[in-house]
Amino acid sequence: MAALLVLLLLLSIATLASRRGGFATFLDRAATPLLVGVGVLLSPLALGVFSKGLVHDLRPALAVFVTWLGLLTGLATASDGKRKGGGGGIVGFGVVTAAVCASVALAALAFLAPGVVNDDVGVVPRSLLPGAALIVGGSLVASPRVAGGSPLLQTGDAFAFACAVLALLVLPSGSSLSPAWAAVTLVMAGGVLALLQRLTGGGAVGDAADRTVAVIGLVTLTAGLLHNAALPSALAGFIAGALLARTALGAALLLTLEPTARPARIVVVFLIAVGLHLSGPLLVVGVLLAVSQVGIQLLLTSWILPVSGMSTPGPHPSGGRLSALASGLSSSPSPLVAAASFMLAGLPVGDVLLAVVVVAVVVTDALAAVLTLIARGTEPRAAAP
Amino acid sequence: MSHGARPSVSVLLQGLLALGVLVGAVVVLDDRGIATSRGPVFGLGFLVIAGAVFGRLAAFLRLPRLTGYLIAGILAGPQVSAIVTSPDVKSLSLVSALALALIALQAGAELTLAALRRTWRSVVFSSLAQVVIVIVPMAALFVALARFMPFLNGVEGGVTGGVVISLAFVWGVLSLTRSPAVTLAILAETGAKGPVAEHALGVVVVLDVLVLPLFALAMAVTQGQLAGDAFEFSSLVHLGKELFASVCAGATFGLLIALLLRFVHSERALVVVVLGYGVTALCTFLHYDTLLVFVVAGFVVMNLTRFGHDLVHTSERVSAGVMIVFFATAGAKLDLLALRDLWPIALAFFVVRVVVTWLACRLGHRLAKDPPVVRRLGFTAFISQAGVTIGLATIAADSLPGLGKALATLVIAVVGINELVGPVVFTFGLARAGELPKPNEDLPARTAP
Repeated sequence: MAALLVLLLLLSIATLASRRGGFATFLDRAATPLLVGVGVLLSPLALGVFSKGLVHDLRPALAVFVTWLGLLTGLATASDGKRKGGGGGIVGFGVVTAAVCASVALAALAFLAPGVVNDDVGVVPRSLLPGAALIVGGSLVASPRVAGGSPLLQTGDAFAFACAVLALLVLPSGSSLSPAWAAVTLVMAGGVLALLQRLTGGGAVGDAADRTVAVIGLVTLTAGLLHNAALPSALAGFIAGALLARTALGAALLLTLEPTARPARIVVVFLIAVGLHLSGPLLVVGVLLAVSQVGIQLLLTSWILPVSGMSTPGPHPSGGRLSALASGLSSSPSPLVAAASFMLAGLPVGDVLLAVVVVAVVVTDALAAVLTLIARGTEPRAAAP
Repeated sequence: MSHGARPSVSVLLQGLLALGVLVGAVVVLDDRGIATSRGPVFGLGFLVIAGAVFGRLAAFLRLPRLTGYLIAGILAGPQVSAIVTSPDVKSLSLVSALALALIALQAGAELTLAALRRTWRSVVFSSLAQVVIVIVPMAALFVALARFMPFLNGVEGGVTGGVVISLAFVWGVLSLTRSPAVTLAILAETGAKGPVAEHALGVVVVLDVLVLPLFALAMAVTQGQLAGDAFEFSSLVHLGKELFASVCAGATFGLLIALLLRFVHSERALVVVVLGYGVTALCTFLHYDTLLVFVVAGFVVMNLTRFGHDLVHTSERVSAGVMIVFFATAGAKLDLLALRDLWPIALAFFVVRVVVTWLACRLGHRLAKDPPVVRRLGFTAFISQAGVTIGLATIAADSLPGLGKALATLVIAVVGINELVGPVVFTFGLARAGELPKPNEDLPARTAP
């Protein structure tokens, strides 16, 4: 009873907190550090308001929300004919920066916690690589408002997300399936989920209530099924979303579900935070990852994007550098969703990876919030997004 | 899943195909040993999908969607396909309790002072007639059939005549329970408007309120008989205090909802759900009558504040999913094995209950001088039994050691029949009364679940 009550309360607060006010952009960015801080404070390792049992009971709910966000990430890859050239360049840039971030993380871990890196199975180095890719994936996309104007950035983020979660399949996890079978199962689950949503949601002409009930039922049962099989249900959700995005139903579904994205993200962040296992070395690695990301983002906004002739992403059409940098830093849920998938799939070092990713996201979001505030004071006032 | 509309053949086939694919996927995963333990989260999702598809099938067959939800629950439940297992169903009882609370809130909000002013004579006479005419014959039938009930013979040392009579009183009161959830859902689903619909909702809600103290009284008497104690007046006083406290809590909760509706303008549905769940937990802790609390809260918001229509609109937004979860879970809970063993007795109780309900309605409506259509078809609203009855039977099972569980099984067997037949009969009654909207007529504001 406690788990359900906590979950409902959390959902309520998350939804109320999702309302946009005068400091919308600032709040948008500051929410993650704040939620993580409160979550860690209430966790069993700190004040203990959330017991270990309660955190464990909330895991299936986390799986449902993670699948939900996976679905939304997939839906956001909708191809609406506005795609411009340069996609290969962005993806290539992502691969390079992933390698940089992974190297930074590995070097930092080897220096700070050699015992963790040189463990018997060698899992940590392999799991940090996709972890770093997640951070970069997040860095390629800004807030949904910004990304909405740039399908290319959405696709880049989705690509990084899918790669990162797919990388999970080659790592040892709680699943009894071989990596190949796990991949086949997930792809099929995603396909079946999309098909079922198409069939049960009344198609493109069905009403919003039909679509919502169908998608709630399907996401819930998919998450329940795959979570118990220790498979990353977020990937199935992502595949389903990406498939649906290419049907007539996609746009209507995205329109119906988009308002749920931010509350769902808030719930995911909080649920992750209350179960987080932080330590000194992991904090340092997380900060280093964030610093790498900021450096890469600076490179992107000052050189790569202008040279490639693409517009600078940012909520302020004035296109100031600070705004561009702030909006370029991660506010996409995909890094957290993918990292949570690692943990939910029972990966031996899933908790370590999740902690590193959360710290990195917190740092970049906090920095983005500060930059947004500064930019508001120094740049010409622009129309509200 | 659009409520109120009959789905096309292609939409129906799409849904059935989807369900077939889903069941096939579950079978394949089971065969390969993947996710053999699926858990309550999967169960919840499956019941939502299966309930929605079967609801669509029921609507296509011109039956109430609720019947589809129930059948989906029965088929998916532990006693047929076992796609949703017993532990899963048990875990979902929390979700089910929340759904029942929201249904009660909506029922209370549907009971307006204006409607009560119009129908008070009918409501008062019908309710009194049902209390008198239903309880006594049903209790007498229980006594007459007692020797055929294996659970009464299995008690060590046998049961005394006093125990049988007091149990018969409990049975009579349980027979009086109706289903506000079914009534409300059918009215919302069909968009029916007219004297039968108005009368049905008023009497069902009033009976629901009347039955709670009667049940508590019957239980107190039976517990005293089982313990060999004489009935004490103090237990009545205690009961009265609890009910009074429930009414006060309901009024407070209603004002709290109104306050929230005053200040919260977006995502009200979620806030009401959260608040509802918190209050449900609190009621359980304080031993308040949850249903009474929610009915009173809904009544207060509708009649004493200016946010009644906001509440109705808000609860309608969540009711589609809530109804599916509640009724599909109720279907999955049905004890088909008990029904197999007890069906002759259950059938006898069902038939006699329908007859005495019809008689009570005829008398009540005659005394109230209701319109002929209500006299003729008003009884169709009172066949259904669902959550309230099952909830009271569960209380009996917990409170009457040695007898309660078997009694609850018999209750659930009878409820199983009433649950399947009642919605169909009520929809038929509304159709015969000409209160259903024409196919090309817009539904009124109340279009959920």
